[in-house]
Amino acid sequence: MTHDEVLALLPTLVNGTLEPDRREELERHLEDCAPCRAELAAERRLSAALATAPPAPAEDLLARTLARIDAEEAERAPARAPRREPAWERIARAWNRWWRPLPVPARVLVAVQFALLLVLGGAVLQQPEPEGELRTLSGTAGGAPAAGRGRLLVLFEEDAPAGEVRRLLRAAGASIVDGPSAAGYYAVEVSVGDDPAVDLTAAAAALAARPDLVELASPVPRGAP
Amino acid sequence: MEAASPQDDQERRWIRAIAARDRDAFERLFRAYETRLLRYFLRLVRDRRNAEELTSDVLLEVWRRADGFRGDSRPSTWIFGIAHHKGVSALRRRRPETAAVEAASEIEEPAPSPEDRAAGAEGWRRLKEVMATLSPEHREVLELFYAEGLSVREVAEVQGCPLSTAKTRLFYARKRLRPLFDDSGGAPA
Repeated sequence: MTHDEVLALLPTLVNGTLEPDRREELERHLEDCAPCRAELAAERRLSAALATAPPAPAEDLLARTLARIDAEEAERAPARAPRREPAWERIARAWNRWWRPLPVPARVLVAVQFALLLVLGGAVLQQPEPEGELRTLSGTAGGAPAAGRGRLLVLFEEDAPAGEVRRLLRAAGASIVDGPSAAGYYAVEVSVGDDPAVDLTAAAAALAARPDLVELASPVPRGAP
Repeated sequence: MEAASPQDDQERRWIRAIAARDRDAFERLFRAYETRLLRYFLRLVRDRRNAEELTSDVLLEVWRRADGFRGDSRPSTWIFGIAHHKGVSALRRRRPETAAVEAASEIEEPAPSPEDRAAGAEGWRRLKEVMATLSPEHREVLELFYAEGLSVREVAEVQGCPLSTAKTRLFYARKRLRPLFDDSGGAPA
């Protein structure tokens, strides 16, 4: 290794990025070369001066940064998740696409039939439907959960911090697939194994173990409407 | 990519945990980097208030983008890459107002405690004077190479420039500083 090569490599020796084999070679040269050793000493003084620690950052810098994170997480809270188009709006759009091109007599006929359906449907809806809202939400978001997945209905506490809710869901391996319903329920899916009922009960218990965040977590039996 | 050190492995674990929204891991990474980033930004933008804001910005960005870190580079290279973009943007916003050459006395050069500084006061004054004549790119190269221990290749990666450009910048900046550190140069101890 020539004298010039050594001088060119000294900065990388000082900052620790010189490859090991070249380092050995360079150190052998330094043993016998006083000018290069002096240069190395100067290089080390330069490095030490630049690597000097600055005065400590403000004590509250971490707290300020965490507060910014909290603000961002709050914006992405489940309650403010991008709004899914409600089913009735999708039906209304489909209806309009189909209805508008029809000739007037056909529209009248359809309107009469629709009025009859409303009357009959109203009579059916008079029947009490326990847990109607839960049942409806459990069957939304693309129907039944995929194989290996199970569904829970979860009601979060009104003032639960969004960041905490996200962490809880992540820890439970759960993800929100629909909601909130008008009453505030979310459909939440988790992975399940050979015995989905046991896994769903365990997942519901894990969520309910945080009563400060979760008001209710209830497994949805497979095949529920 | 440079050989991974135990510290790199630790930081990779923290970043993976941050991607899963682990605040403890974020706080550990924050503590590991806040002083280093502050020194980097002091050297680049030379204003303490801005330097602290930018330090916070970078670490917030790490929180946001942790799940995008694929580990192709060392964590420090990735984090200082983010810092580089923040710093360049800050300088671009500020330059019209500070087009005049800054006086060395107004420049905040990262320095040790007042006592240590007093011990080598003349050396520090001269170091500040020379640093004041260097461009932000040259000051950045010095910081990344000597203070952060990045290889020239990693410096090029952070600065988004060809390897040859990073080499030239290092050569030039070092040449300007080097005379301060001769035996008789009165350099900072």
